[in-house]
Amino acid sequence: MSEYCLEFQNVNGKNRWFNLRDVSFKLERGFIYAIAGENGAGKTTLMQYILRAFKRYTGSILFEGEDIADKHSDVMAYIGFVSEDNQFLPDRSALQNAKSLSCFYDDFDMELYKKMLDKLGVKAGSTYHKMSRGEKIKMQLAFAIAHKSRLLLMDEATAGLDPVFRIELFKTLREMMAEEDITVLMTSHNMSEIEKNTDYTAVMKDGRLGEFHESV
Amino acid sequence: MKVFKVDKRQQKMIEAFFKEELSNDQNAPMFLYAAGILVFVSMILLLVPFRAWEEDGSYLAVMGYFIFAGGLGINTAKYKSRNVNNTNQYVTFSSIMRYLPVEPFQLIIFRIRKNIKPCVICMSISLVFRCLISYAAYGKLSVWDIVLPVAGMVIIPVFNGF
Repeated sequence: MSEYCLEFQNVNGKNRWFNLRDVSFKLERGFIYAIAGENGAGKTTLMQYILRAFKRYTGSILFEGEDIADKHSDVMAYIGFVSEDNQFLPDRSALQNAKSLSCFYDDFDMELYKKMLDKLGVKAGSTYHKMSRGEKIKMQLAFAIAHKSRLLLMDEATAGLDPVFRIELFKTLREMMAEEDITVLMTSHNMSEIEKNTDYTAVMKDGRLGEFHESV
Repeated sequence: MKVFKVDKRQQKMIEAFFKEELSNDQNAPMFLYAAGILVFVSMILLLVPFRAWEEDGSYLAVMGYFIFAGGLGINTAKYKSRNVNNTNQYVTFSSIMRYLPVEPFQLIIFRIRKNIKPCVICMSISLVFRCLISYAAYGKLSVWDIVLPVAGMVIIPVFNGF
């Protein structure tokens, strides 16, 4: 297994609105990495290149040393995604969602999921579309942990949430990372927030990603 | 380049997902009944040999294929999307599976596979009856009695999967 959790090698991509230009970086395991940037800088596109099944870029993206384009569905079993864009069954409860969607994961741990929901303060019987934004983020986090994600992608997960919840979220992330082998890559507009709570930060502008530096 | 082929493991995952999901959906049996009624109506039209439709009734034969395709479309609709709590809001399963460890075209293959069995059964019945009736009534077979059921009842409904 590669010492790096995620590796971008000269990734170039063209979108209708902007280009991703020659993005290269390596993420070591067990840290929280953050990409900051304005709207339209290319943060979400970068994440979509990891998550989407069809390769729409040149260069390579490696997950634990293997090119994700070669066996995307196998890799996705170990990638958790936390975002408003991530869809769950809206009229099903947190528990029903897990029962239905766990079919796609060989290692899904239902007991761990229930434990995580309990720890994060989300009722297992709450219907997804009636949950607040914060509860949805927490449920997605519990789901990602339960299917044994090794890379957690969080796209603007803290946007629009109150400061108390944000502090609680980062605290929870640190606790999870102490127990499980997880690397986190997150995007945010809020530079001060990510500088304070993450291990490494990089800035993205006009499709170019700066180097990751230690957060202060 | 991705290869459009069946992944048995992913097909089993999708099957298990829909088994769980449809067990919670009260409207699921209605899809089957509605599809059954439409296929039954279309079969009445599709058993009649081509020669019998030749003059002014040929539109009825075409309508038979449309009703048949519609019936199979309803049969696979429950694997495409469903409405949320009987409201106008819809949830599509392709969007639910977008970030899951399953290739998008495996869901399309799954829906096509769900149509293949009823298509082959209906096509066989239509072929046999058309040929028998055509031979008994006119003493000969038309090539369209073979081409039309195969084209209309297998190729067209398979596109319902997409």
